Amino acid sequence: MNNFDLLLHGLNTALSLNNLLVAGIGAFLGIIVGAMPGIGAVTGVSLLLPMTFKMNPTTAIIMLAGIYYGNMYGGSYSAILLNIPGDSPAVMTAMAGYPLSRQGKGGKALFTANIASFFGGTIGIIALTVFGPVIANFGLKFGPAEIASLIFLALTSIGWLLGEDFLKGIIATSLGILLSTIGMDLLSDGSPRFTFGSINLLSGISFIPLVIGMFGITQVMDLMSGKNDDSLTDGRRLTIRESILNKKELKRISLPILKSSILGNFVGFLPGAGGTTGSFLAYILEKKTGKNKNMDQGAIEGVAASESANNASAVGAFAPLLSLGIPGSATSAVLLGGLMMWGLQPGPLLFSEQPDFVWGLIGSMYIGNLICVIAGLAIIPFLMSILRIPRGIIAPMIVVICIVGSYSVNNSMFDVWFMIGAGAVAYILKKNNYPIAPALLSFVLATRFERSIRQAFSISHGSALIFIQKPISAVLLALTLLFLCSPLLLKLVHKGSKR
Amino acid sequence: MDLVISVIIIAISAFWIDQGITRYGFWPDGIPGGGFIPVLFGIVALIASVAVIALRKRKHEQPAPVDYTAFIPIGAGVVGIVFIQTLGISLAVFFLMFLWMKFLSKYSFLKSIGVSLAFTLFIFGVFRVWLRVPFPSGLFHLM
Repeated sequence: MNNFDLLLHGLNTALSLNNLLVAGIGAFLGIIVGAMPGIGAVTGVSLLLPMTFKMNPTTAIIMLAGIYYGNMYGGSYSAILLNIPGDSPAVMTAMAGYPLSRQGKGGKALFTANIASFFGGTIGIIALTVFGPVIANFGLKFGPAEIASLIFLALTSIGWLLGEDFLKGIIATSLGILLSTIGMDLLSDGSPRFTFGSINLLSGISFIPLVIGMFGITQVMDLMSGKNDDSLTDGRRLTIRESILNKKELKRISLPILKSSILGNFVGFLPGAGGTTGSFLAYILEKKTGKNKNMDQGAIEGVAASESANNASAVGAFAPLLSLGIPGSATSAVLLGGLMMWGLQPGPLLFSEQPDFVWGLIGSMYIGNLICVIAGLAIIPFLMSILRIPRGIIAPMIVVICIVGSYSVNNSMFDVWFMIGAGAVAYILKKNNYPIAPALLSFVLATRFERSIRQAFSISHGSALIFIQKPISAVLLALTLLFLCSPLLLKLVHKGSKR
Repeated sequence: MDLVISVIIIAISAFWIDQGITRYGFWPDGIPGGGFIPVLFGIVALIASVAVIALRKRKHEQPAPVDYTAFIPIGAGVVGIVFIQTLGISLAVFFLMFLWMKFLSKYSFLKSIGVSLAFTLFIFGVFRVWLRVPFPSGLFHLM
């Protein structure tokens, strides 16, 4: 049988009443868990894993895939509505989506997020169906040098997010990287680094309390300094009709979705690169090549780029997991644990030995994606009602969610203290024109960057030539150089054309 | 304020550079050590902060006015943590919501009680009952 026949067989498996039901339940639970700041996909899937213990492997993984998928959809809701990204890829969604909520266009942002997630996921699933094993093998060519070069490209791209004050942007980016070095240095002898003797810092700084503090708490601080008690939409009632995108707007987001899905899906195939790198690179690509240059002031193109890349990347992570047994993200590592628990051994043989399972899973992704977009669109009216809550009520609610969300990550009060401190510091920095998003993004990317660059140097015995000798790495570095020089090149071209 | 922030960042960067070189090792045994990244980006942050100070006078920027009401959430967060550690999560959420709504947002007693109770039940139901997050029960072990 070819892939198409196998997919039909998989769809047949997924469309059984039982599997359809668990896919729906998984998607619904995933959306709720994803929308809760502090829980996130990894914790969500881990928490709900025990629910699948008594199911057969195919049904169980279909439900987990639904949860995983739903998480990706739900993660954007708190980012758009409350400026609290549920997980790291949603940072970019918050940047473009929350300003839209403040302008009374929260419904359009939510609609865009759902549509972009659906198409991003669909493109990702098609790529997984057709090219999955092939691309996963190509992904294996990405060793430490290539991954370091890819993340270096992403890090240098942060320059485009720095805002008006370039120097302060550089400082914020560097501070994010310095913060990421706190914790045990697992590449050396596991000795503590910059922990100041605190046990709580041994495992490093948790991203979720940091992002909740820097985005969520500063958001409430901004609300408190406002003089009136209106809602986020200034008391205006939003209708469902206002949230539906018109033809022109759909056209505006179609190209960003296509570009970002392809990019995000490819990044998802790379072991360890993750959805954050995907959504971030897609956002930057859209900012540089798209028509709307003011995405940070709120733009559906930004939401579309970030969300489609995130979902395409989430699906992409399944390719190395299923075909090679290598998890592409932390969540797929939890899924790998599930597979092994059911006695399944991921790898090339899984496709031939367990076709019901693999193609049932891929088939259920199509169904799960469809269920998620229907559920996501259906709850927009409820989500929009959150925007109408007056500031005097929504502010304490956000503070409570920030506290509970931060605590839930590691069940630690230290994280809550850290979140409050991070919020206060971020607010002062923000008021003095230091951009916050670059610090968060560099914090996320730096850990993987440091690991890869040090591994690459270890392999080459300290020679930097490894980054040029490897063709993929060399291409990525050339692209980095090109991007860095692009403002200068564009100026020269502009001057030349004037003459 | 710019000067104060820049000086603090210079101090942090200098500490990271110093520890990176002297304690964790920048380039031990011919390969990057634990101090490699801290030193590199510490230097970047330090140079950029010095540049911010140097350029400060030229820009003539007005310092951002400080609105102290903005720090209410920080105070509320600290009070919330103290409440959680003494009363347990459910009572802490309820009291934090109620006190904020009644005394800061000036809502009526009944509305404050009603909204606080409903929101507490929501938080307890989702995080404690459904997701089984082990909340601290406080001194009284009420929940």
